[in-house]
Amino acid sequence: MTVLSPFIRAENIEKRFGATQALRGAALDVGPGRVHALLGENGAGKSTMMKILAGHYRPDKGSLTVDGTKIQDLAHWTTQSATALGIVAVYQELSLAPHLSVAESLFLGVERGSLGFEHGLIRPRRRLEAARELLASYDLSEIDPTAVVGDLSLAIQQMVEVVKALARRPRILLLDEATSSLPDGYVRKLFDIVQRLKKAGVAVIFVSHRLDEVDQFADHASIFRDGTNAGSMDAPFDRQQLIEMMAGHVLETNQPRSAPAGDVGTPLIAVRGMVLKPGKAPIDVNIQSGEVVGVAGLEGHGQQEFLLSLFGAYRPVSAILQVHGRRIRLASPRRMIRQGVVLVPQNRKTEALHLDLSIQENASLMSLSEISTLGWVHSRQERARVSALIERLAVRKNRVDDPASSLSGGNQQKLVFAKVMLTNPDVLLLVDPMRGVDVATKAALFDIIGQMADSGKAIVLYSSDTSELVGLASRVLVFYEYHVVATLRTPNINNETLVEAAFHQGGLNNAGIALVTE
Amino acid sequence: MRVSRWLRNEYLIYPILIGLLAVYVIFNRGLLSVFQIQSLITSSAPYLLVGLGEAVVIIAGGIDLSIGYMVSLTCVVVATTTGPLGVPLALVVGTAAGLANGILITRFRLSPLVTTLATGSFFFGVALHILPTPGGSVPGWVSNLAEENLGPIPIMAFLLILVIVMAWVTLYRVPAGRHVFAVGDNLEGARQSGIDDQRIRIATYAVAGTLAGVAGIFLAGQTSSGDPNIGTPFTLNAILVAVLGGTSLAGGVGTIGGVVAASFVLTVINDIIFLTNASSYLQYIVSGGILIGMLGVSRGLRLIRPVPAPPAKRVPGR
Repeated sequence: MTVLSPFIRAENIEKRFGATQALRGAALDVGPGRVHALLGENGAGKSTMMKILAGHYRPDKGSLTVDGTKIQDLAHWTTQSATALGIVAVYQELSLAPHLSVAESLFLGVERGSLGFEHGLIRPRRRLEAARELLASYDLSEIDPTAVVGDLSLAIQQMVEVVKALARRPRILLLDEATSSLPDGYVRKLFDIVQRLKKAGVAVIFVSHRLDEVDQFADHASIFRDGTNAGSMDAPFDRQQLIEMMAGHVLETNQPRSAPAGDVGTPLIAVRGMVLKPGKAPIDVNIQSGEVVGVAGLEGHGQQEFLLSLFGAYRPVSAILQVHGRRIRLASPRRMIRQGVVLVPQNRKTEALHLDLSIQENASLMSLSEISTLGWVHSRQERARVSALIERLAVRKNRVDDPASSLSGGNQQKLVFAKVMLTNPDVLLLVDPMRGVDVATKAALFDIIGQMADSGKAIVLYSSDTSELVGLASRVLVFYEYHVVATLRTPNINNETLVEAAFHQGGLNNAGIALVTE
Repeated sequence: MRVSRWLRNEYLIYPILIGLLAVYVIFNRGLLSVFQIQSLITSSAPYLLVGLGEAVVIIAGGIDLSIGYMVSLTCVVVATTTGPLGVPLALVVGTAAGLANGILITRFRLSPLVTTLATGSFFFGVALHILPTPGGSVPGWVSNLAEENLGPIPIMAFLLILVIVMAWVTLYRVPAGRHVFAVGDNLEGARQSGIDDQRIRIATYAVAGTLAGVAGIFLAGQTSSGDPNIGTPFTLNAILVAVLGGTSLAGGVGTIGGVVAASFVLTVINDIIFLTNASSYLQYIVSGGILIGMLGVSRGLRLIRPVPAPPAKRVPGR
């Protein structure tokens, strides 16, 4: 058999989302029977690359070559065309219809009707048999093909998703963090499946944040950083080198912030015994006035839930919350705002802004009671306050009556800051505020956060880009699987330590950095 | 001022109103008489009242399909209650009916569409039970309020101005009014801003009920009797007036001025239909047609108006 090699090749891929350049000149090359790991920090462009290969996104620039044939028409590159070439993807987020049975899910879209006609009638009994055979062939006969998908555990749903991809007879299989919700037993089975596919000549590309799995699964690894290739490596992998490649080196170093001197009085906000998911270790944190506490870790390891719990918008398993030393029972956003705790949500468009309302109306929405007497809003005072702040934050000026939708992403984010700052809060919870904003805005937001801390506010900052925490936070809580695995303090906060801690690699740390494990 | 701003639905109603009035005056100079202007105001009154109520509900992201039947119910209540209690009782019934809608929709998380369709049927049934056929009697002072003039100006005009001023103050000068827009535009955002969204939404339905009650009382006064069927066309007309006045069915957008202008537009259109001696059933066809047309127009405007790029979807196709 003459093998066309490599199976799939992506070159010079560029992809932009608004202000964010997700990929710049990224490349990937995978041959048949190879298992290729794609590694990198959050936001390095791994998932974007996977989605381009699978046809979910169209690249802005670059070329794709499958089986030695260049895809001429990238403007019409869709999931259908990718599937037709045998490229099938499995994502971390499930795409199964929760009300269908396992058997129905497995063959959804690739059913064979009666007499073998594509549009013939479906024969349920036949489908059930085929599903049972398919599951058994992958050593998954414990999954009942008649079960309704929504009733199954997350891990089993994830396996069904994998088998569904296999039912499409992939020649190139993309696993985008497909192992993240799998317990060890299923990771083992997935490993066996991957080995079988490998023998059959299937190319497998996979993204995982668990470096142990990478060691087990992959023959080769490409490391992405900031949307481009930072290097590649063959198995066996040198972990220290992998981590260095992922972290890179930051050029600018902000003046490191130091923690406020001494323990000054009662913390502005404190949490005792917060358990985010059943069975996870409790979290205890005190946050003082003037402190910037960073929250880091791989995406989806409980950072958001932690901040939302402090704001009363997420109900943890258990927690005791204190603001100004007073215990808050039944925390809710309304109650927390009244206590001076405000949150800048992750998604400004769906959670923070009212796009049809004017800039002024958005900015003053949370502080209307302060500029009204006996329920009458002083519109002139409102305008003056909003205009002054908008000017200070350098949001585009003199159009405070335009709808918020007229602002660019970066300016919208500044508007969200303006909105919460007008309430004159004591505690500011920031959920990934720099996501998708340009460099200039980022610098401006850095300054704002620094100034707020200097004026005695307590700030909790979660960022999916760990390098943003360097130089801003005086303490960083690193999350892993819904609990804090390490707390880094000022002299030791840098990209390497953050990445190491996030990948939960405290044991491999040979740089002599003290990781305070909680 | 940029052109796009004037292309927004909120402002579309004013040129329509001016154009229609011009056409009307050219073909029927009688409109310029004091009597015709008085009649224009009193005919618009019920449309304005229910349209305003519906607009407030829609701005907050809901919809009320029971508003016409609340008009029927309150109209019947006024006509069948003897003594001075009729009017206050009708207002209480209207408000309570709206309150029930709001509580069912927010506290029990029911769909506004189906809930108000069901409660509407309920109100209609109660109205028919109280007064199966038109009849009853209405206190003289109610009829006077609805019919008489103070000098050249109908008394109803003063009442409408009072309602408009109150609505304006509440929507634009009271925090709760701003919260109505915020809740309708982005419910999750409003919650995260510490707004009690349930209270706001319940209040909008209650206001719609109260205004339906005022309309019911007015109609009872105008006809000097109660009629359980009188409110039936008002559900569609309320939505029509709200949408024609620039209220976005998606919530968060709407103006009082637009609603006022739209209620006049609807009256003028009905007058034109009446003057051309066309079948009165044409009104229903025209009302429905305009509503569909308006929705089409606002869709079309969205296509030509420069709209900021939609948020980048994280995972398209899923």
